[in-house]
Amino acid sequence: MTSFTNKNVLNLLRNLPRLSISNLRNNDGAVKKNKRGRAQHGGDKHGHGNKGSKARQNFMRPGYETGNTPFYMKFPREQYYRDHHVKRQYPPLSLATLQQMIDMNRIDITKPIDLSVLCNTGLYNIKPEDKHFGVNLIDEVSFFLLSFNNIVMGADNFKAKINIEVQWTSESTIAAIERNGGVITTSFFDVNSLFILINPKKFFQRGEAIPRRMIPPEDAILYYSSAANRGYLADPEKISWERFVLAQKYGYKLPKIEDDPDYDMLVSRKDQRQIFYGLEPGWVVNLKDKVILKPTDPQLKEFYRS
Amino acid sequence: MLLNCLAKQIRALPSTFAAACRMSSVATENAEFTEVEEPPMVYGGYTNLRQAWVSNLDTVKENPSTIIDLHPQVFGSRPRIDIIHENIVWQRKYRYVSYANTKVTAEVNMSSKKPWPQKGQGRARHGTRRSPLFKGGSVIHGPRSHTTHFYMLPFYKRVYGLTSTLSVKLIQDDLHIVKNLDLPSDDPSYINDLVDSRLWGPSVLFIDDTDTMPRNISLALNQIKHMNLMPVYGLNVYSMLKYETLVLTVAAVKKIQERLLYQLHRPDVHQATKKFMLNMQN
Amino acid sequence: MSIISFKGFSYAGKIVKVPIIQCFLARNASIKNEVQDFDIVTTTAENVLSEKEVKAICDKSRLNHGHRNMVNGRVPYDKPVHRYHNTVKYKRKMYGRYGDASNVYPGLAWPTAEDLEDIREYESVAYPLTIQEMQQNAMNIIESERQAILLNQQKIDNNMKKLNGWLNEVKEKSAKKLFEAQQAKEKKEKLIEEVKKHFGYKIDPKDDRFKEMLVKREKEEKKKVREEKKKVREEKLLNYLDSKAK
Repeated sequence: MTSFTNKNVLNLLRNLPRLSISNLRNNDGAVKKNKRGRAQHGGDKHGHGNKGSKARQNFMRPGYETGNTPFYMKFPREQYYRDHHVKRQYPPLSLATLQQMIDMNRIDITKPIDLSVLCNTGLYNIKPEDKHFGVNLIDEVSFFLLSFNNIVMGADNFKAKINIEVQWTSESTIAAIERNGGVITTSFFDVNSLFILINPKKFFQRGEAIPRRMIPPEDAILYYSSAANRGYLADPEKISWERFVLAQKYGYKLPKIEDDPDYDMLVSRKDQRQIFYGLEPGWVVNLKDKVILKPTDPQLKEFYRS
Repeated sequence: MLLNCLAKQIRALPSTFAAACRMSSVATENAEFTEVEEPPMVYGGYTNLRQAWVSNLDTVKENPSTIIDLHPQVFGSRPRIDIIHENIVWQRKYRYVSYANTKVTAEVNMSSKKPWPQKGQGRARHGTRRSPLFKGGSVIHGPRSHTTHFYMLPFYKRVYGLTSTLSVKLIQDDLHIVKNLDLPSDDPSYINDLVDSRLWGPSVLFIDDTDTMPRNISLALNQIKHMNLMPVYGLNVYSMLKYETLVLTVAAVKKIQERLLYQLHRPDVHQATKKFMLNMQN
Repeated sequence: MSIISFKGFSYAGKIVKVPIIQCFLARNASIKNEVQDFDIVTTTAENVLSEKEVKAICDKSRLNHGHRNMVNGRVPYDKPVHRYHNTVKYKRKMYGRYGDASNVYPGLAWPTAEDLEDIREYESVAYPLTIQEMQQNAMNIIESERQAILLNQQKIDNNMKKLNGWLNEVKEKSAKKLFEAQQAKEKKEKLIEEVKKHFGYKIDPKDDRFKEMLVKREKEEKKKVREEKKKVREEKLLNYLDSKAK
C-alpha cells in the first residue's frame, strides 16, 4: 500500500474535484444486485415446475430412499475417530519455522523460549478450548516454507542455540537442538495454565494471583517423567546420560554447555508448579503500576508452595 | 547484509513494532540510530514521504512555523476509492434500523370470518377479508419492524479506509496541521475570519488529541454548526469526507500515525481479525 | 440575527450573535418592561454559561461517563453503579487494569481461607494421586501387561508340547467313532438281510410286518446274548467252585 509509485496516483487526485461522499463509487462487480425473480424469467413458479410435491414443499427427509435401506445406513459403523475430540492435541511447529522466526528477529534467543514467546510472535497460535495442550516441535519442513525451491528438512538446517520448552517432541528434534548446544525440555501445562501462558497480558489484567500449574494426567505422566523425552519431571542426571546417548546415536559431538557463556540461561528451567519464568505462583503482577505483589500470609504462602 | 537492511527498516518503524520483535540478537549500529522521540520516516530512499506545514490558530493570518514529516503509509498510501466508498456505506448502514412495519395476515385488524358463502353467490371465493387480495388486507413479504442492518466491515478495510482518506485529504490540500487549538478569544467571528481568510472551505473539522477541547474554541464553535471539534478516537471516513477541510493538531497527527501504523504492522493479526464482539476491550 | 439597541445607550461594542431563544425572550422583555437594562445581551457568552455548562460544551467525546473514562485510561466508575461493580471479580479486574488508581484493596487478588478450602477439596478430587503414585500405577500397568503376555506365551508353549498327544487323541476318537458307526450299520444290515431271507419275497423295510419281524429278531438276538452271558457266568462260577473245592 505504500511505495513511491503512489506519488503518481496521488498527484492525479490533485487535479480532480474534491473527493466527497457524493462522488464515490465502488469497483464494478463488487456489489451484486439481488435480482429476485419476477414474471416470465425467474418468476411465476420460481423454478419449481408445475404442481407436484416439489412445488408444494412436501419433501421427504434428506437421504430417504423411499423405503429401502438408505446409503448412509447400508454400511456398518467403523469407529476410526472415536473419542478423537477428547484426546489431547499438540499443534505442530516445525524447526524450519522456528529457525525463520529466530532469523527474522521475532524471537529473542538470549532468553529461554516458551509457549508464551511463540504465541507473542503472532505466527503461532493455540486454542486450548479445542483441546490443544501446547506446541509439538517437529523436524519436518513447515508449510510456511514450501514456496522455497530447495526444501530441506527442518532438523538438518537448524542452527540456533536455544533453551526451549515445548509440550511434545520427537527424538530427532531433540537431537537437532542439542547438536547446536541448546537445551530442550518437555513440560505439561493444564488448561487453565495454558490460557494464562498464551496471553499473559490478558491474565495480568484480571488482577488475580498467578496460580499453580497442575500435574499431568495419568496417561501423560510417563512421557513427562522420562529422560529420553527430556521431561520436566525426569532426573537431570538421567537427562545428561540421555544427551550423551543421543549424540552417539545421531553421530554428532555433544557440545559442552558447562563451558558455554550462556550456561545460566540454557540451564534455567521452570519448577513443576511454575507457569512463567521468574514469577512464582501466588504473585500478583500489575502492569499499570509495574509492581509485583507477593503474599505475606503464611497460609497462602504454604498453599502456593505446595 | 540483508539482515542489516532489515534491521534498519525495522528500526525505522514506530517503536511499538520494534518492541514487538525482540531486537537484541541483531548487531546494532548505534551511531546511526539515536534515541529520538520518533524514529526517522525515511527508509531505503525509495519512499513517498509526505510533509506538511505546521501553522497556528493564534492569529487570523497563517504563520507556518515548521515542517512536519508525515508517514507515507498513513498520509501517502494509495487512495482506494472503492474502500472509502465501502467505509461510507458501512458507516451509514451498520447503525441503521428500519422501523417500517406491515401487518401479516394474523395481525390485520379484521375478523377472520368467511366473507360470504363458498358457493351460490356468483362471486369469487374468499376465506378471509384479511388476505392480500383485498384492499385493507395484509401485506405479503413486507417489511417487518426493527430490521437491523448491522455488519462489521473487515478490520483492514476500515484501517485502509482511514489511511486512504487521510492521504486524499492531504493531496487535495484539504488537510491542515496546527500546533494546537488555542484561540485568543471565544468569539465565533474570529474563527470565521480565520477560516475565510485562509480559504479553508465552508465546513471544517478540527481534530485534537484529547476529548476535552480548549475553552475558547469550544465556545466559539458551539455557535457555528458547520465547524466541529472531534477527538482522535472519533476520526472516521464519513466525517473526513463530509467536512471540506480537516484540521489536525500536531499531537493528533502523532497519535493517528502511531495508532494506524500499529494496526498496519501488528504481529497478532489473528486477534485483530477475530469476530467482532460488542464488549471487546483491547 | 438581531441587533439590539436600547434606550439611551449606543453600545459601540461587539455585536453578539445571540441564540434565537434569547432574542425572543429579550423582545418579550422589552415589550413588558420598557425601561430596563438588558445586561444579559451585551456581554460575551462567558456570563451566560456556568462552569458546568462550559465544561459540557468542551467535552467533545459524545460518550457516557464510564466509557469516557475508559477511553482515557481511567477507572470507569468511581462509585458502583451496577451490582456487578460490587463483585470481587470486577474489583480484581479494575485493579489489574488500572492499578492503585482504582482504589481497590489489592488483597482481593488472593483467595480467602474458604476459597483455599474449596480449592484444596477440588484438587483432592481432580488430582487424587501424587506424581510418584501415578508413575507407580503406570509402571504397574506396564508390568502387568508384560506379565500377562509372558503368561500367555508360556501357556501357548505348554500347550504346543501337548499338541501331538491331542492330535493323536482326536484321531483315535474319530476312528473309533467311525468304526462303531460302521459296526452298527453292518449289524443292522445283517438283521435286515435275515428278515428278508425269512420272508422270502420283496418287502419294504419300513413296512409294519418287517418292523415287527425286525423287533422279534432283535429280541432273539438280545436273548441269545443274554444266554451266552449267563453261560459264561455259570462257567466262571463252576470254575471257581472247582478251584475252591480243589
